[in-house]
Amino acid sequence: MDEKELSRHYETLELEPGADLRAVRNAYYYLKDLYSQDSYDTVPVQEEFLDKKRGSIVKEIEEAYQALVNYLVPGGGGQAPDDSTTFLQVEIFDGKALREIRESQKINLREVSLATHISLEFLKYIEAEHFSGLPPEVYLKGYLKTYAEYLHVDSERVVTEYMARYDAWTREGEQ
Amino acid sequence: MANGNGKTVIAFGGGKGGTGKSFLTSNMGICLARRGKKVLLVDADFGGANLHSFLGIRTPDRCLTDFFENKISLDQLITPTICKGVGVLSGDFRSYTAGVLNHNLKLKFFRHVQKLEADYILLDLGAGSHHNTVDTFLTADKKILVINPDRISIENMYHFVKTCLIREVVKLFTNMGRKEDFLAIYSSREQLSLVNLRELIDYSAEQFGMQDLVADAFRHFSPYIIVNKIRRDKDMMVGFSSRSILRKYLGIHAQYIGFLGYDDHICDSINRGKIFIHDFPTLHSAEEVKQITENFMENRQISLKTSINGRKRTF
Ligand SMILES: Nc1ncnc2c1ncn2[C@@H]1O[C@H](COP(=O)(O)OP(=O)(O)OP(=O)(O)O)[C@@H](O)[C@H]1O
Ligand SMILES: [Mg+2]
Repeated sequence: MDEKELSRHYETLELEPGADLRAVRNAYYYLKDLYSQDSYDTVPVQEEFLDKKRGSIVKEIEEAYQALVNYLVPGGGGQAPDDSTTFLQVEIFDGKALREIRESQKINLREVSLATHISLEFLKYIEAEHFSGLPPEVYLKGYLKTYAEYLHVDSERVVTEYMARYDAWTREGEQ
Repeated sequence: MANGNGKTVIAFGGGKGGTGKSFLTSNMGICLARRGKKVLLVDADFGGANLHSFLGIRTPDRCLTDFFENKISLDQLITPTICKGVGVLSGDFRSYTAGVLNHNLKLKFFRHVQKLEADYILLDLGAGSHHNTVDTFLTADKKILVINPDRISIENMYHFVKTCLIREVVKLFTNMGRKEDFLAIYSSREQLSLVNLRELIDYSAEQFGMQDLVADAFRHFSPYIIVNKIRRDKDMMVGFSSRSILRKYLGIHAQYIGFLGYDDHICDSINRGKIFIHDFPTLHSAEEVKQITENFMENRQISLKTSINGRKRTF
């Protein structure tokens, strides 16, 4: 990709040239949502918002994202992780699924820990389903929600499905 | 972008009434003065002058009638405040009604204001998108849009910005001796199926080979956005959405420099004749005003990352 194209993509995602993958992802999800649906902050410009124009904005955002991910992920081989299908394919949000989603986004646990303020240890335990090392339920739920939001996956599903496994483990212990 | 003599004029506008323009003018002004600058606050809301109330001044001893009728020079009308380095020029007229003030007199006033001695001159504008208000806004070196996270405020802000752009474009065409041509296109915009402002402007620019001039004017406009009176974390996102929409639909680059929570202490402090940031400097919302001022000075923006993952506030 040449310089010019690169800076055009950054411009589309409204980022400074050179922004990292994390920033690219945040901007992408945010802008895609903003231009894919009506909200109180977009309705006021309805007259400027011809559907045609809006469609082309969403398309540009998608293209910019794909191109930047390809560019930023070394060895990505032109194959950007297609998050939407990855998430849809998740049958159950267990520890393994969370790890896979995170890895598909090329994010390491340390980054997650820094951004979410969840300790590295707990994050490891969550992914490994090392239930006995995890904090009490109320905290755990909070952590799961935060982590899910960070990964841009359905946090309600994550909490419900992960906690079901946690509860099963607790019941086992009681027997 | 200060003008030649190192003086920077900053205007606070944004369309809707009550979004916090006067509050921010006064309190950010005080923050600037704390950085060792000489600051002059100008109440340019002639119809509803109230800036002095935010500065603990009950009724200013001097008013603008003295300037317009009694030919007293403006620097003599500046009222000092208890904050070091901060003076205020009240927009109060008493008996003399502001409505009488015609456009030329206002221009004269602002010409004199620009000459006053200060590092920063902050203009507190009134509500609305009247041409006079917009024109004053456009004279400033730095233009701040104060919005609230509600639909009316955002609507009004877009309207305000669009009025700004139309004024700028008309000015350009006038300078090129093409005002009539532009107005002709404007009035037949429907026949030409120019459905929105951007198309209208692009079309007109193209007709007369003025694309570069227009692009320059838009680049130069680049306002700052402050979101005031937020009540929950997600309200701060309004700064991003507005910035994005201004960029994608109108082609102007705004900077989102900060947000400020809704805080009853602000109203209370005014009711009690106090100066918010001076008397309650440790409150969370006071910290937020300081942060906004700092972002403004250092040319920093709120990033999507910090707002999603960090710096959560509790309401
Ligand atoms: N962050 C805030 N939290 C709570 N109240 C606020 C906040 N900011 C401003 N206010 C209050 O809201 C009211 C309107 O604020 P202000 O007068 O600064 O708005 P304005 O934009 O100057 O209005 P106008 O367009 O009428 O001049 C005032 O009573 C002020 O004290
Ligand atoms: Mg006001």
